[in-house]
Amino acid sequence: MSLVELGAHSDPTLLILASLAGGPKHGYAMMEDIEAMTGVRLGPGTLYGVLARLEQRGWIVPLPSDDRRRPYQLTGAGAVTLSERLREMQRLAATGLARLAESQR
Amino acid sequence: MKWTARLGVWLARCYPHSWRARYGEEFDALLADRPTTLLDCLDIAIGALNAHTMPVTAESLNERMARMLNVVRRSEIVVFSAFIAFVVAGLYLNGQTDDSPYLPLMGFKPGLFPNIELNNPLAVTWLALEAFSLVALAAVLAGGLPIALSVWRRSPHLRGLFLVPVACFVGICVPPAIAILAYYANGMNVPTVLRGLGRPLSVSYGIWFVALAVISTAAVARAVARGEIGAGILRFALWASAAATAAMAIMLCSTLAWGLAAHTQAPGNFDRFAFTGDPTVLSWGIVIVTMLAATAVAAWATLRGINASHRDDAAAGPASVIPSTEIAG
Repeated sequence: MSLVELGAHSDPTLLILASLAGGPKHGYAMMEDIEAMTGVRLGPGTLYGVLARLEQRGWIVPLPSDDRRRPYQLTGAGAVTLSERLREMQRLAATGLARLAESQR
Repeated sequence: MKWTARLGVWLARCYPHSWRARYGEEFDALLADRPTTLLDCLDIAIGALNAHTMPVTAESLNERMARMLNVVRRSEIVVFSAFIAFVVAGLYLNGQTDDSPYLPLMGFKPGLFPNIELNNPLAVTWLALEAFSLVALAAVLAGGLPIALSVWRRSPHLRGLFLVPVACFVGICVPPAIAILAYYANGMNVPTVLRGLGRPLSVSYGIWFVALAVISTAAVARAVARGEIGAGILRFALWASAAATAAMAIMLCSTLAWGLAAHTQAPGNFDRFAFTGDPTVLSWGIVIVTMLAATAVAAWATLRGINASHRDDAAAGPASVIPSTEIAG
């Protein structure tokens, strides 16, 4: 089952932060990376709505660019936020898997 | 280019100007890099709507505050201009009613405290019009004087603009003053003097009055637009603008009711589609249209200013906890 069918892990904020954790990317590269990583296809309006919010919060910063495509980079604060979210999901995953194993015994 | 791609590019133009200034170029590059589907177009349209209703651009808190205060400032300039237009219309009606057959119909007798008949709709509606004109004036002064004082103290290079309304006021008073002085020695009644000037001269004076009102308002607007004004003063003036606008709305209703009462009580005088020097349905109609337009513009501007002020207060919440922007190593 793909992540998009699960729904729970298709939060655009999380997807963009996770994509940028792999290095600076511009908008198109982020969309391609997210689709490859999770099967989720972000729309351009959604992508830039989230990018604006993330930049306002200081979790990403734009990098200078010679052409129209502007790459973004994860900041330290953004990395901390992503780490916390993923650890919460990891705890949830561990708890869920343990309960499933228990119920199937 | 496919039609969906063209639609996507057109929809991207619907984002707010400030958003386009920041993200427009890279957004257009993104749309050019990949095929745009119909779902993408819907996504862009929703994004544009969100950007208008919940603006989130990566500007500093100070930049956002300055932008909000500019919207508030422009709103207050518009309200002031609408108020002046309203006053000109009201003065026109007042000038026509003065020394006209309507005064005895309203039961007004000469004296400091005219004998107002409270069961007389013509009198009550006129009294309401005059009472709320004072309320509107008080609201405009309450909001406007602190602004004027702030501009005077903090922007000395703009002080000259405040002399323009003074000069315009003198200009408005000079023609009737000359006429009154010229005829006073002969013991003629002042309103009779003014009526005696004849229609061409009266119309000319009316045009002169309106022109000076426009020049005066433009000078004040320029001073307020360019002067240094504290945020607290601008925000307070928003509420004074709301009070003035509410008073204007009540005066508009009173003027409307007064005309209906005049139609009932003095149809011979009122129900004439002509300019006679006294209020008629034609002159009253022009006053109503002017007052309605001024009130509508003032209401729109006040709501826009209050909306900008509240929207920024709401948006400022999360930004107040912007974490440090340390660059990842």
